[in-house]
Amino acid sequence: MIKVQNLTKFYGKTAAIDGISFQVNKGEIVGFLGPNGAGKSTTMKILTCFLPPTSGEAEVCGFSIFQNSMEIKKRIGYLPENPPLYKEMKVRSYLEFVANLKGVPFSQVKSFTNEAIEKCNLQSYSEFEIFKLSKGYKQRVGLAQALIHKPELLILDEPTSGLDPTQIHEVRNLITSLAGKHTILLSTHILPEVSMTCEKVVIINKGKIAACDSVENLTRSFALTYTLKVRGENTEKLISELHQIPEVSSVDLETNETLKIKLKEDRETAVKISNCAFKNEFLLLELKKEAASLEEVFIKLVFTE
Amino acid sequence: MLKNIYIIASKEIKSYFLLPSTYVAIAFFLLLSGYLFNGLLHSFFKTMALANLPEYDSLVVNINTLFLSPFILNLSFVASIILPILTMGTLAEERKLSTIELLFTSPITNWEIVIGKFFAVLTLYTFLLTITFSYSVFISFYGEVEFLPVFVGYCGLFLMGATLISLGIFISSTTESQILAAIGTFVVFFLLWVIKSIAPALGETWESILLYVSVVNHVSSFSRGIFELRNVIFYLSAISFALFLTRNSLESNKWKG
Repeated sequence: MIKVQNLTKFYGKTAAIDGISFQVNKGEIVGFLGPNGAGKSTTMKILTCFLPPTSGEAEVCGFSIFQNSMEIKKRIGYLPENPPLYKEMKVRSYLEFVANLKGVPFSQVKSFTNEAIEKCNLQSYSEFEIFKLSKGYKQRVGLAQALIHKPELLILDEPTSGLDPTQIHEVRNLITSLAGKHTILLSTHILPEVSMTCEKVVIINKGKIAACDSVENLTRSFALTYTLKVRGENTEKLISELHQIPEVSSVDLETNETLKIKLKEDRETAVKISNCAFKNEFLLLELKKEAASLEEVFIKLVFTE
Repeated sequence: MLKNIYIIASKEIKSYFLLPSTYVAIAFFLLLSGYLFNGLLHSFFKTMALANLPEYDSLVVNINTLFLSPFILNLSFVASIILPILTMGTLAEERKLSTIELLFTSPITNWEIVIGKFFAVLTLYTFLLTITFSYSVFISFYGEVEFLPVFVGYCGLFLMGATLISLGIFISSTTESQILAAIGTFVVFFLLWVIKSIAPALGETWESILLYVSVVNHVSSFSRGIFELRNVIFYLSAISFALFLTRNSLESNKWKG
């Protein structure tokens, strides 16, 4: 659905994004993660054909952003950071205008608008002027605007920014409910959001791609905690011997038989741990690698270099 | 193409009637044109009274030259005062509220955006002109009015207004602040009037150049009921040029990011 190759964008002399490449397949919900100023919005603006890149190539919905931007624009729904709302208009007439703008046939504008209003739970506000709505509802109108023409691809730039927790919850539910019908690329700097809504993440930092994988793979490959379940006599001694493995940073006794072992890095340390248990004549019941939280992965990728 | 222009223009017209500034502009236009009409009416009746005196009995009072053509010139002045209010927000507001992002990421071209906006303001302006046309109908109860020259005069007003609108939209496209756009447009229109009046003092070459450039000057022959093709061509090319600049200014905003 999206294929980005070596995309670079300079603002003056500073590179907002610097040779990034990634891919999004049909039907995926992809989280675009990064600290503020990492180049998320810039990338999204390029993919929606709002900004031209300095160099590189991107293909969206099978069309090149250089040659066929009109075809792309027909197929995408885009919610920018600030939802593009005409504040003096009423919700319904605004959405009808957007439907027309996106090329929905005149005869279907009404039904498409009703559907979008329903999906975003705006029924009781459809005759309100947009400036009278709260921030959360404005954001919903923004979402309705993005999905009104049933686009193949939805690009959402920080859809939950500035909302209160209940509103965030609602918007997330809305996004997950859209899964399957649309391919979705959403940017955020709120990590739980990604683990809750996305299957795949692209982590971007200082204009470069730091990681691009499924949430599961990432959290597993960055995991540094083992749970060890053993039965034996001298637990004290086992703990002190475990400490002697160079990669181990801490060992905590959770229950009588369970130990939590944190590592600095993982170099097939599982083998050393199990060997250590055998040597001390412990019965090894279980040795399991815990998945890291996305937050740990993110901090590791973005803040340690 | 036409469909998209229609979509933009009709939304724009609907939005106009939701903005207070539109009503201010309309009220101001009607007030000022009514006031000027009233002033002309007084002096016209004075002349009529004189013409009825026995010593002037050879004098034929012509409503068209004595009343309607100065009125049309007055209207061209009033129009250049209120049009900046109508054009100021056209693109500046889109940029400020980042609704331009919606337009730029929708399957429509910059030409369609610009022409749609242009037709929206033009429609509103035509509506205002139509209201003032009723004044000429009113005056026809008091004497013989030749409607063809009046109609030509209104053609001139329409073309001049359209040119000012396209200029105003261009100025609006260069800034994010509609106040700045309004002031800029007002200054430009004011200069067009200034160069018209100082031109004769600058010698023959300058006079002819400045008078040609001054958009508001070309309306005078229309107001006398003279339909000259070269004036029509002047206006049409000025409109196309300004719209072309506007479209390019939108395009360059995009490249600057």
